[in-house]
Amino acid sequence: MKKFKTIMKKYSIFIITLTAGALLAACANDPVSDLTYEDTHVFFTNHDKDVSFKQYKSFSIVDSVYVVSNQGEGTSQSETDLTMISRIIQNMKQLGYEYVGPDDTPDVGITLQLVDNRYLNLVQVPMGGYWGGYWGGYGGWGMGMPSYYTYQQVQELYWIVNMLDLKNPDTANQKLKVIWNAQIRGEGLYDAALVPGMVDQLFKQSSYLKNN
Amino acid sequence: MNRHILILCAFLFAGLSVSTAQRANLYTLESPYQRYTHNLVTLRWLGIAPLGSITDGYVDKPSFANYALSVEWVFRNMPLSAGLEAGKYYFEQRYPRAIYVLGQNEVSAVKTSTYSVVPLTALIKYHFLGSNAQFSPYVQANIGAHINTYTDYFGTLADQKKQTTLGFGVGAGLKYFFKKDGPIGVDAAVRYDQNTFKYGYITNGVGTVAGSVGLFYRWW
Repeated sequence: MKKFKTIMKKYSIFIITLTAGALLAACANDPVSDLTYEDTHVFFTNHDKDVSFKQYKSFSIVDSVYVVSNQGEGTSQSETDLTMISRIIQNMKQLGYEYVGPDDTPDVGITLQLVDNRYLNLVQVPMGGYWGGYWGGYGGWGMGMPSYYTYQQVQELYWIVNMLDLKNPDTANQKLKVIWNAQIRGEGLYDAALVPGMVDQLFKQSSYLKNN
Repeated sequence: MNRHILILCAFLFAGLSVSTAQRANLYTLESPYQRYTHNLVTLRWLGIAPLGSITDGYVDKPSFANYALSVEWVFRNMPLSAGLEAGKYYFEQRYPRAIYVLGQNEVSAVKTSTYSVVPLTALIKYHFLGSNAQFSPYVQANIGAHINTYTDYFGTLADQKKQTTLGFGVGAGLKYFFKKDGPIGVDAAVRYDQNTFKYGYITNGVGTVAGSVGLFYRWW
C-alpha cells in the first residue's frame, strides 16, 4: 500500500499532464458565431439531369406558402411569404419563362414550403455535475442541477422550393415529377428584407434553368 | 633586476593557477540535477503551419493559438530524458461564399473549415551537451495518439468527424537555463508532426511543422 502511494506520488505529475490535456481537448470554441444572417445561409439545389429546361415555356406558382410544422400544417400568406413568391416569379420571367395562372396549362408548377419545427430540448450543461470541490467538507458530493436550467428551445426552419413537370405528367402512376429542388437553411430565413437575395442566389447557382 | 621580475611573475602565475584549480575543486560537487534523476515540466506556445492534403482547400494558413505541456524524467548520468506531452493545436479558415458539390447537390455557402488535434504522446530527448549544460541543444522524438476533430461548417451546418489516430513527430531544440544549475529556463524548438487522420479534404494524414517557445521548471 505504501509502495502504491509512493508510486502514485511519483506519477501524479504525469496524471496531471494527461488530465490537463484532456481538459484542453474539451475546450471548444464556436468558430461560426461571428457570421451575419446572410453568411449563415446555405443554398442547396439539385435537378433532374435528364431534363432539358428549354422544353418548358410557361410556369405557374402557388399563391401561398405551405407550412410544415410539428405543431400542425397549413398555408400562410404573410409579407415574407408573398415577397418570396413574387421574387421567384421575377427570376423566372428574367430567365424567359412566361408566368401564367394555374388554369392556363403551365408547363411547370412551382411549390413553396416552409418547414418550421420547434423543440424543447433537454441539454446537459457542459461540465455539469462538477462544481470544483472548492468548499471542503463536501468531498464526493455532486451538484444538484435543477431541470429548469437545462431547457433550451431549438427551432429548425428552412425553405423548400420544388419545380414540378406539368408538361409530362406520369399519368400511369398519377405522379408529377420534381425536376428542380432547392432548399435554404440558416438563420434569419423569415426576414422579409433578406428574402429577395435568398431567392436570387437559388437561381444564380442553377445556370441550367433557362428556356433559350 | 629582470630576474627578480621574472621570478615574481612566475610566483603570481603559479598562485593564479592554484586558486583557479581550487575553485574548480570546490565546484566538483555535482549539482543535484546531475546526481539525481529529476523532473522537468515545460509549457510551450507554438506557431504551426499545416502541410499536405489539408492545405488543399481546407486550411493553409498558419495557426498561432497552440499550446503544449510536457513532463519529463531527466535521467542521471545520461544525456537522455523521457516523458509525456499533451497539447492542443487548432486551425481555422473562412472562405467567402462559393458553390460546392455535395453528393448530387450544388451547395452555396460561406465555409469555415476547422481542424483541431490534441496530441497525447510519449517523448524521448537526447541532449548533446548533457542535460545540465546551461545551453543544452537536444533532439527529440514523439509517438502516441492524436485526437482529431474535423469540423467543416457550411454556414452553421457542420460536417464533423472525430477520430483518434496514430501520431508521431521529430524535433530539435535548445534549452537555456537562466542560471547555471538553476531550475528555470526557456526552451525554443522546431518540430515536425504527422498523423494518419483521413476525412473529407484530408486524404493523406495531417502534417504540421511548428516553431515553439516555452518556459520550463525542473525539480527533484
